[in-house]
Amino acid sequence: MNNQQSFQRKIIYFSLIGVLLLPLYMLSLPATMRKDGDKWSEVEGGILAQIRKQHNLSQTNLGEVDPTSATMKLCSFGLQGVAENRLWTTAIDAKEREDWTTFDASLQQITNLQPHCVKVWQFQSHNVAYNISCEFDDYHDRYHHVIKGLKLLERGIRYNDHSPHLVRDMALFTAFKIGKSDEADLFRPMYRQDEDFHGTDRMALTRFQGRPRHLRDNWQVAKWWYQWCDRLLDEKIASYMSLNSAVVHSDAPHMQIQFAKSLEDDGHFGDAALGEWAQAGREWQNLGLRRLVTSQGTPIHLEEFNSQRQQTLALLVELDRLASDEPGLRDKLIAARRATLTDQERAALDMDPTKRDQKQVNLAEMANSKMRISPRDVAMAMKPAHRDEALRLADRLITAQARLDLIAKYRDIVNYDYWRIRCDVERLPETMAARKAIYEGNKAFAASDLNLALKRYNEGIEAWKHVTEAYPPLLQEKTMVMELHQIITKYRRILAQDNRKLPKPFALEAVQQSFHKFVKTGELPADRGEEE
Amino acid sequence: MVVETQVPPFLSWLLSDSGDGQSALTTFLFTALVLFGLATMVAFLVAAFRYGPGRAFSSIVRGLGGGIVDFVRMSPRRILALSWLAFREAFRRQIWVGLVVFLVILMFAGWFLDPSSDDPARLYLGNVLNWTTLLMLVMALYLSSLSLPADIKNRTIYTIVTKPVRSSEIILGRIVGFTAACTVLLVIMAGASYVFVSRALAHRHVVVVDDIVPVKQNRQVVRYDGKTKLPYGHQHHFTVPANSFAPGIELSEDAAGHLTVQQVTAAARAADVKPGDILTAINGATVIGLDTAEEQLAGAPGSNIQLTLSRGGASHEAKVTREATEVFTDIEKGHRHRVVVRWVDGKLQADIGPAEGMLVARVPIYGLLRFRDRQGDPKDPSTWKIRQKGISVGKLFGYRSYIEGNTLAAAVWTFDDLKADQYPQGLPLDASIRVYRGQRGRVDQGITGSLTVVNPAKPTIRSREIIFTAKEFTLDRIQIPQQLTDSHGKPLALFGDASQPNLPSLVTPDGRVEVWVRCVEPAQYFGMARADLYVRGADASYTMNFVKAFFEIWLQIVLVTSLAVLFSSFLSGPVAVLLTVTTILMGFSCSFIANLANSVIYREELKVIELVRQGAAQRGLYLTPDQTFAKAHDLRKDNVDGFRVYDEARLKTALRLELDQVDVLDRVWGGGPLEAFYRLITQRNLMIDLEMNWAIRTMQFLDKGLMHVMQYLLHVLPDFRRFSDTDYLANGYNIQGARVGQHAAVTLAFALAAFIGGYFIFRHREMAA
Repeated sequence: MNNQQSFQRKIIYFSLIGVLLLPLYMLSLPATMRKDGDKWSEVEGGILAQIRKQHNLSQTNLGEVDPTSATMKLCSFGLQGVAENRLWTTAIDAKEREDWTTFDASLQQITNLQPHCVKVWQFQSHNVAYNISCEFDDYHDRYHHVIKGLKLLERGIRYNDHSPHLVRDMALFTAFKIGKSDEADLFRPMYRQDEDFHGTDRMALTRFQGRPRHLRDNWQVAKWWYQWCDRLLDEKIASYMSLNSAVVHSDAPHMQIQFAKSLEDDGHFGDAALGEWAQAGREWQNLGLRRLVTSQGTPIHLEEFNSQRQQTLALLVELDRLASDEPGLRDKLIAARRATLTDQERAALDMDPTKRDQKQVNLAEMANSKMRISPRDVAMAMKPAHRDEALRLADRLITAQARLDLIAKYRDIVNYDYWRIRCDVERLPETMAARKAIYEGNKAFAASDLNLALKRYNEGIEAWKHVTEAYPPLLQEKTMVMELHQIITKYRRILAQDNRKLPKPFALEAVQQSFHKFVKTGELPADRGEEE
Repeated sequence: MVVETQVPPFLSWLLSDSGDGQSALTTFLFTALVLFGLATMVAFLVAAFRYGPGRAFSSIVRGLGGGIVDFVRMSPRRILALSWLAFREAFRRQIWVGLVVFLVILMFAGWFLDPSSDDPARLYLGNVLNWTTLLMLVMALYLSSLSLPADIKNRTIYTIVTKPVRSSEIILGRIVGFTAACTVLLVIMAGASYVFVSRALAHRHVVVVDDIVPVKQNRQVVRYDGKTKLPYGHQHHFTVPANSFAPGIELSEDAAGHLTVQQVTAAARAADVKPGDILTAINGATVIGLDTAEEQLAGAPGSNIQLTLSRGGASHEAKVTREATEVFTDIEKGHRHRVVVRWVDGKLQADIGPAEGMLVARVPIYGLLRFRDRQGDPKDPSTWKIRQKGISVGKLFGYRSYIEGNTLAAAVWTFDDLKADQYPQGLPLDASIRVYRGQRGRVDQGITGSLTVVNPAKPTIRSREIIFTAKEFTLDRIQIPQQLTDSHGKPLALFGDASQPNLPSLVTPDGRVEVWVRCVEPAQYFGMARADLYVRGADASYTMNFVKAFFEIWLQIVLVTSLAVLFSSFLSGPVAVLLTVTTILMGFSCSFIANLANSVIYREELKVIELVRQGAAQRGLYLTPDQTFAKAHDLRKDNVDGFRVYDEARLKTALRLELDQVDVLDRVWGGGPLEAFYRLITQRNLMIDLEMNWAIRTMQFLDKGLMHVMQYLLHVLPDFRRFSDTDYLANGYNIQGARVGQHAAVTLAFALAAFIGGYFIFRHREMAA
């Protein structure tokens, strides 16, 4: 090869490189900002930058950009995966060996390397707040670790400020780890008085900045976070993905309910508590008026249940009216269907449902599904003169019924009716009197004042009797029944101190019956003390 | 973190029998002899193959003779000159880059290190030491393994070998020169690290007036509770007893019992108290001694006190105000602060001193830990051995074992060699006891335990129980006083009292004493291991400890340099680098490799032990190793599933080595390298049993072979991890001098071997060239 050939080759190589650079340039030109006069405008950048933006994958879209994290990723020279793996195993090993300093250090590096992986924050903050905190015996240490978990979540939210999952976890941990754990009685006041935690706004310069300083109660803080989750979804910053809209939006009102309840648990029975219950009622009703996106795609409102039911009923009446000049049409249809069943199916269907074996249960189910008569079936069976109109009606009825079912399902998911009644009931002076009497009874019992305890309990039980009689649906709900059953249990213990038993007839007999019903269906655990 | 290895004194380690019939020195000599013999044999065989036995023999003799001459006639001046060359070469090859990288890391360390972590001292020290080790080893490796091959390749070596220098001097010169260059770097790094850590951890808190709150009882202020502000990620609390304030004078007592004023504050000076005055009475009451005087001086802040002073023989009165007191904060993040609380203008002000106890070098004196079961039995009824473990509460980490509360179960530490004159204030114990709750109990209260001091020679002499609340993950100080009583209230002396020879003493004349720890509460458990309770000796110097830790890094540098020079004397540069890196990596993971080898080689046997033990445990039995072996033998005879494939000789070895006792966290799962690779690519996790076929069997067979090789290699590998004393320094424990001595001796042995080996190989190469 002579010199000239070599030179020619070089020229060819360089021009090829130049040509190849062109598509590369188009692909990976970064998105930047340009100043036009006084205004900054965004320049879209290359194809990759556009796709990144479209799918919310660029760093600035995900949340805060951190130099530490970027440096670490750069320094790992593409061995990021290996480094992460190693760090995770180190963290797990350190946790087993109770070497918390190493655990913390590994965790710090893991979060630096994977700042935009939401699952990492979810997993590790739960790990710290729930699993590691339990490794300590001193409740101060436990609290310290719960707070550490919360702070970890806050960092995670800074990096991923569009993630409803992290915001929801933040609310969940604040609500239940502080407010419902074994140490709740100790944690709640500690949390309220934690100047270190509340004193500085660690979410400054994010959209979550400026939580009011007076919000110190864990339920209120949790509510604040849940409301932020609502906003993220309402303002389309985040999408529902796998979240159920009814559940998501019921959480904030639930926190208000818990807050109102906690006031009473702490012995505040004045206007403040009443006001919080009223607020809870309003918020719960707002949930009913909120437009909820459903998994079927049709938006619904929980409060439209009654109007939807009326509409459905009206359609049903209309359809029946059309069929009124053909009496027994439905029965005829059923008889015809019955004729198509096999002998076995018919036998299974006719026998006592409680005596069916598994095979017969299946057969009966099959038979039932064959015998089901839809409005369309009825319409199709009508005389040709009515058929057209009947079919139209039947279609409307089916749609209306489906919508009614959907609303009912969503109401059921959040137990809408119960909580609405509950908010109403709790605002009654009788209920507050009942709760106050029981609270004072407990206090008297703890102070060994048996007479006063009994007196207060008698008053409380009597008041509860009135409340439950006035609002029977209360006893359809197991949480309420369980709560009342606990009051009865305590009452029984107080009576036992005086060598007495529950009076007969007992004022809260209905509660007892309801409790046993739930125990029978396995929804509540049996009370062994009661059996004795 | 577990730091508990205690080493025997250096000389006894070096010279006397350490239990396996050999002292360190004899082991060294024996190994040297074997290595020498092997090397000579290999050299002979190679030479015989090439030139025939006769010539081989004569050349070996000549070589050895020449070698001895070369070693004896080494000239320090030439070695120094060659070292200087190597030193200069090191800097020519930009060794200072390592230093720059280190300084950059320190500059940005704040990004990665969280000063508000639970143990910042450990985090910071651990980090600087690890970075230093990493960078220095890389530098040493880069310098020493590439130098000789490059010289040989570029033929610049001829400019040296043609001079009147010996090969031994070339090799030694390089080792010394490169080590020296690295030493310079290390010293700078050590200095920078010291400053960095001290500055990063130094902090002073601020207390504002509002943060000191009076606490009243019966309308009387009994104490002041204070807390610091939060800027360093933590907060300290302190309590000031209301009647602890004293006027601003410092007194000293002379031999005649006179109390002389040494220093005074401005307020006291204004009240006409001057240094040199002799205090004669307080509020009209004559003073008796310093202790009583201090008691009399103490009182509520701002209250006045009448002092009678004598100056130059003349007596005068002075009315001074009680203005200050001194307390300590609580311990948070491993340190506390001294607090001076002053009464200024009717308000309390607090000055917080620097952090104390963050950078320390504790000297723990460990005892021997034995357990007693819930019946109080010290022996295991099935094995008739003294219990070394309590019960397990089901944690994976089996280091600590537990005792049940409100039973006779106890953890008994026996301490040795305690001398009365070393502990004039009594025996200071540091304890950190884990708690496992069998029931929730009271969440707001800790679990109480009792501690009894017992005379091991006469167990009836035992102190009354000292009740304490268990504290986890922190060191709780329990001070055993000199004067104690037994459970009947009769007085006891800890070390014996010379003035009362009849008083029974708890420590035996040869300095032994037992400390019994029990959990008091039923259904609660205490967990502990040997290092969780120890006698705290006087603290050693932190700075010296720091120096020792860096000295150990230096030893590692020497090791790596010698090995790299050895390898580079017969390998090309990249291969030498690779081999040294492999040696270092393997050296750092010696314990992992040992565990891996055991898990692979004794795989079937460990499974058999587990099966037999599980079967026995279901019937409530515990089997001794012999019983386990016999049971497995029977089951094998009966052709039971899972017992057909194991090897009886290996089972015996596994039982003898107590491999079944290895901590679950240290067991290695998933087989050897081949099997692990197979699992990786077929995405089978570590615990899944593979379906057995010939391919898997072959793989496992090869793995076993590989692991046998690894086990032999482990014998000649330097265990780098043992050289690292990062944990000691970072956790605030003194690095024993004997430990450093041992490591220095081992390093010297390796370096010597590398030097001699390198010399012979290099000389041989030179001749061939």
